[in-house]
Amino acid sequence: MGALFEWSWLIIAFPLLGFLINLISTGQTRERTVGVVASMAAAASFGMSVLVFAALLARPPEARLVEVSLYRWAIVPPLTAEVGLRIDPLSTAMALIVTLVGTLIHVYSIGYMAGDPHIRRFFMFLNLFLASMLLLVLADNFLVLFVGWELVGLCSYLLIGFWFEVPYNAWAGRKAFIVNRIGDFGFTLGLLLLFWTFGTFRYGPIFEAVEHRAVEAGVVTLITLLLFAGVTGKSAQIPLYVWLPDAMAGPTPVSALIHAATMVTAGVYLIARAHPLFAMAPFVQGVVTLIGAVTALWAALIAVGQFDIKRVLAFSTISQLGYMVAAAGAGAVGAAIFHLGTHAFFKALLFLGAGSVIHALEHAHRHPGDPSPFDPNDMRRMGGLAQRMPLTFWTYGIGAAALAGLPPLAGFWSKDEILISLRGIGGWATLAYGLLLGAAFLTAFYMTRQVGMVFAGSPRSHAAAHAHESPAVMTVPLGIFAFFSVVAGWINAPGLGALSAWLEPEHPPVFHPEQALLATLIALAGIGAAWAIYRPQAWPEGVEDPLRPVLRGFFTALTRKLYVDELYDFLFVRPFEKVARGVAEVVEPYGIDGAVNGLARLVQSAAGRVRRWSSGYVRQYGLSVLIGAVLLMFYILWMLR
Amino acid sequence: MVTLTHYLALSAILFGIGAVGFLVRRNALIVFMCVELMLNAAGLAFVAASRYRGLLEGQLTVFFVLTVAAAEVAVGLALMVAIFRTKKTTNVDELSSLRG
Amino acid sequence: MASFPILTWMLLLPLIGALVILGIPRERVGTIRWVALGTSLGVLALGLGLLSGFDLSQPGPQFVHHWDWAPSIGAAYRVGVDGISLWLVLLTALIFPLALMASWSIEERVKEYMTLMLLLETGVLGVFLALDLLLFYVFWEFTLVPMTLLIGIWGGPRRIYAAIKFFLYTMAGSVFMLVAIVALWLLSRPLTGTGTFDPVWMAAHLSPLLSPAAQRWLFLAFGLAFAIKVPMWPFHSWLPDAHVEAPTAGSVILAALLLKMGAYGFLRFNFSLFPVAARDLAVPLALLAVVAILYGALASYAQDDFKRLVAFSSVSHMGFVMLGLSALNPLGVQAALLQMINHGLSTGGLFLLVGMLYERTHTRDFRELGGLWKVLPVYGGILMVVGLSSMGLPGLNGFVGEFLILLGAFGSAALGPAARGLTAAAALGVVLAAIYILTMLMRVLHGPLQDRWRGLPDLHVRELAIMAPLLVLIILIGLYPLPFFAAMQTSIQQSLSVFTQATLAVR
Repeated sequence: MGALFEWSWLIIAFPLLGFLINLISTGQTRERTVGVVASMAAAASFGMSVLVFAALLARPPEARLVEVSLYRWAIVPPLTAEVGLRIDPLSTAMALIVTLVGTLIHVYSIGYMAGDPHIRRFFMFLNLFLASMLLLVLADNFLVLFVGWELVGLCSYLLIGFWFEVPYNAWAGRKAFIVNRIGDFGFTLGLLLLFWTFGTFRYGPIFEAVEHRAVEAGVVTLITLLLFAGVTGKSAQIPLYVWLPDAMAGPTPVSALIHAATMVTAGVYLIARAHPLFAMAPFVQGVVTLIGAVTALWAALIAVGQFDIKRVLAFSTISQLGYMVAAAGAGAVGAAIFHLGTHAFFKALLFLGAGSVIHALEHAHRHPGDPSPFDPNDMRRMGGLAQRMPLTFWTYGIGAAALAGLPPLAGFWSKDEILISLRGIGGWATLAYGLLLGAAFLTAFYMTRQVGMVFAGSPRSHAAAHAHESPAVMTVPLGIFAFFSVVAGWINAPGLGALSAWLEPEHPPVFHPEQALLATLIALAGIGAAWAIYRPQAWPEGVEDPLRPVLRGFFTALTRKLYVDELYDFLFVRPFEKVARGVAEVVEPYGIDGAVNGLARLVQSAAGRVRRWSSGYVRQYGLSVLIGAVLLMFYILWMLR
Repeated sequence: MVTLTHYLALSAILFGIGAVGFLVRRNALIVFMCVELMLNAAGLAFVAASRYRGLLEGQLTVFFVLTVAAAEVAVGLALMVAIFRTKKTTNVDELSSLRG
Repeated sequence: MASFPILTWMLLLPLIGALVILGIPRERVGTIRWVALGTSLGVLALGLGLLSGFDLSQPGPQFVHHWDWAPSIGAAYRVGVDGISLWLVLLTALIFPLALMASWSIEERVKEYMTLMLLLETGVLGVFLALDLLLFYVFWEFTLVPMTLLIGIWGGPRRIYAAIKFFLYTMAGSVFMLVAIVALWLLSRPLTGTGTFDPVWMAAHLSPLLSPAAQRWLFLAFGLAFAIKVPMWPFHSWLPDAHVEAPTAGSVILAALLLKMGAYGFLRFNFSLFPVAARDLAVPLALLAVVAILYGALASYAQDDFKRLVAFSSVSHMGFVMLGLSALNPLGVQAALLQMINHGLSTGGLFLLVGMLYERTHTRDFRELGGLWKVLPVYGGILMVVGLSSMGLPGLNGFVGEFLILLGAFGSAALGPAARGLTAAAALGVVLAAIYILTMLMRVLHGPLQDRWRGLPDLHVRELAIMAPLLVLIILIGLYPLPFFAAMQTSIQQSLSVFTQATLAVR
């Protein structure tokens, strides 16, 4: 069985191979083949993950850690950097989630992206993403994790800007990468400090040193704070969440896979992975928990005012990531990973459902040959799709209910566990607990609003009236994801607790009936409140959103995402451009080059005066020589005196 | 009795004539001859001093001076011919194309 | 191998090639090009032979060829290669064939052009191979003439201005170096009788005797010449002009090789000859480096000219190199040396790509470009990879250099308490690099395509052949930098140990 682990690098290699095959197979390959190759690569990676998982499961709990060294990357004293994999419960659990969701979305993409002229590039990037994400997850040291971390950022950039002809898409991709890099600025500094504190990047020795309290707590506080800066970028937390809503410019499967289910959870994974470090820095834990909780509430609030079907989901993702970050910050790694897993399923389901709706609307719009610009993402143009797209409606409903936290669906269990884990710690955690309860109410509210706007009532546009159900290659994955959205929560349901037993055997999941009841009631209250406002009977014809007259100016603020983008633009983007322009257009030509050219001019004008001496007349030269000779003679005579 | 002073005086006079001629004459050929005059004045001084002190170095130097003068004349006259061909003049006041 | 003076042949071969070209009638352009390319490929072959015979464990110079051409003043022809110069020599041998292939589109005065390129190759190789200060100086100045002519004859509209600026600026710096070399020779005279130009001997016997003040002045004199060449802020303003006006191959060689001569000079001479001064001046040096990183990146972002953007990015990247060098620890210095290679590959590659684009569109102005990935998919892909390498994406070569430079500088004893602040500021440069590179990619490749660019031809075989070796190295160094570090390890360790001993002796 041990030999199997030596081959665990295949988990990463399969998607990489898929990437290379599609890279080399120039243009001639058929569009279908490209998708199948990529999907098979993803499936093979999933198969390998299952094998590794099974092999690890066969071991006794205390022996479930295998480190596989692949090769030496660089030796520069005092640094010895190796590329290695760490196979343990946390990494295998993540690998399973990533490869399973990834494979399903690859399959879905074959249908969704059919007919796109650049489908080969799409699947290449998707495969590359999968490989990078798995590298991130399986790495046995922070440096390789960082490599994967940046590479998933690259793939995210490439895929957001996949339809690069539209300037907004390209801009959104760039924004995502840059914002991530700003977070990684902190991450990088954290890595530097980490290395000079511990002398290595490897998890094992670092965690050991922490366990033995071999380092100062103050340094660890700083390190974790810097690492968390990276987390706020990648996992879209305050203050760096602003890229994720714009990331919805990418194709919908990308939004589902990268910007909901996997990449954005990398930050949560990092906190879980570095948990021994965070555990040593209670101050940072408090910061993380609070930022997670505030983000959860803040994003949920903004989601209420969005009209773009995917943007609602994007803010919902930010909000749910806030839950996970808060839990991970509070040390409840099991709960965080549990929610990460369930969220991956139901959020992927929701995105793919949204993709199905967009796909249907686009086709229905194009069908009558209407050339007018039309935004198929706009929920104000939808309505009444429940009868026209029943499969999408029912699966979407399940996803929404799971997200809202209705029992016995997946989201209920994981969210419940997070809330429980925050109780009884006191201090900031209690505040976070309250914020998360508020976020739970808003979550139920905005999901009900969305389902109501999209599926209930009567169609509000020509396209919505003529929409049809999507093909099977898209609806079958919906069904599969719906199934998981129902059952995924049960693997860690109280009494069963398989995930907790796997991740942290010493912490079995607890269940407080009153907590479950409270959460359910809050969810129901959210649903009820939304239904009261958005049910078709209460929604007069021609009104854009029944909430607008209630909230007035605040609703406008919500639709404008609380003006955070504008604030950042004013605070950072424009000053940056001004400084850059100032450097390039004032300091460089007039300051630095001005000094150089000024010096040159000075020499030139001095030379201009001396130049007149050379008149070109032999006579004058002769006189000069003569005078020189006479002077020299007198000098010599004076010397000899 | 012709003493060293006489030789040196002659040398000085010759040199003075050469120098003044160099400065005042316009014809390049004459200017050249004045340069030669100055060179030969120096040569005369060398020879006289050499004889006076009973050393050979001064006389040797004169050979060098003569050689250099010959070479110079060769190059200078060639230049002069070339200049006359292109500019149709040997007036040094009209030749100032080397002005800085 | 020992009897065959391989390094001397590397220096002679381009000269012989240049002589052969002089004998070919100027109408036979094809022959001239192939002779030039063949010659440079021959040098590359010799370089690969060098690599195969290189002994990793030996810190000192190898393949040494020695000839006392002026023993009365202690000047010698002495060439050799060690771990510090090995990769730079190989980079030179690699870049020249690529640059010559990129010069296929040069149509006027091909004969003179190719002759000058080959002369330049000898000069650059000589700078990296010379083990004698006088010889080094000769080669150093020797590179100046062909480069100036390449800019001044085959350059863009403001080529004369750029060429003169380049020539005078660099010359002004190297004069000080000459003075310092003469001063060192005079100082060595009482010790040896004849005086010497041997830097190894000086490092061992002369430097410990120099007073800290003397060391500092000499350091500054050498340093000014090198700082202008690197170029360090604020001596960089010749660079954008020279780059923008130079023909593609000129820009490539300038960025990939000539700038390295400055950084190499610091490492080879300043640090080994004047260790005390180096230690004292490490913080100001690092400070200028950090300013260069941020300044270059900011200026780069605000450019509308593709080539100018790459030129300013060079200033930023060379700032990283100088930061790594001024860390004066193995991590920083080795990473800086690798970063020199990386910068040669990625910035050289970017200049090549700019040239290829310009040959198609006849503009480098971002405002006229955009959406080109649609018509140039292969070009776009390659530009993406090279650009990402330039912005230090992990998995590609730029990351290895930049990250390890930061790592080295962060823990540098020479930089003392300033180390962390300087490193943090430098790390900000990585963020800025992402901003200007991604903006560049967006403005060239993304967005709507203008109608006039429809039907542009994608890269052809010759251009792919130029880019292929660069791409292979960019990815190879990114994934597996171990052998590249291994080759320089012992030499750098030795040069740094000399440095610490000398410092300790004085303190």
